[in-house]
Amino acid sequence: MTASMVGRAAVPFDLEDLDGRRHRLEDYRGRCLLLVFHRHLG
Amino acid sequence: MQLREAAEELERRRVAVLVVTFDDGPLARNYASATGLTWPLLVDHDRGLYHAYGMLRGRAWDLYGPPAIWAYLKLLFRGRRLARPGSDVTQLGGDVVIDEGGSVRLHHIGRGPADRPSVADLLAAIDATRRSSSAAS
Repeated sequence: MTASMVGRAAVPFDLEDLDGRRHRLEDYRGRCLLLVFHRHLG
Repeated sequence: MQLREAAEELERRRVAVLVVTFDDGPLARNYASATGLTWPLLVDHDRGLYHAYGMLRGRAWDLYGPPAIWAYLKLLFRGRRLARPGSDVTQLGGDVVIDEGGSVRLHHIGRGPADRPSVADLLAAIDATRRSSSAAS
């Protein structure tokens, strides 16, 4: 069972999208951010 | 209500939405095209971000039991075509809301396809971050 991370600092990331554009957590500082993790595509 | 149907609500709240997958290549492109996805689809090849948020592998009951079958049937009733599953059907997903200061405000690990916060719950969590930001300033 994984403990809730509510209240903790968000995990930094640096990932590319399908167009090769990089997205980092710090790019979104100052905005509310929703991360939607897919189980699998299909 | 599906999240995509709330796109305007999210935009009005200035919420950035990033969709994360571990599947890449044609599968990801087909998904984005078939669903008309307008949010960026990020590829987490090694699932480092999944794991950092505790999204590991699911149990057989959650993945294949009656709640999962019901969730897939609802998708079919909505007209969604189910494609061949991606590379790992056991990988769990979830939702994370991060506030303007970089703190996690909602952290939900989906135990299976039937286990996702409702759009109303997500909007409520987002609205709560905005209320506390206003109170702090």
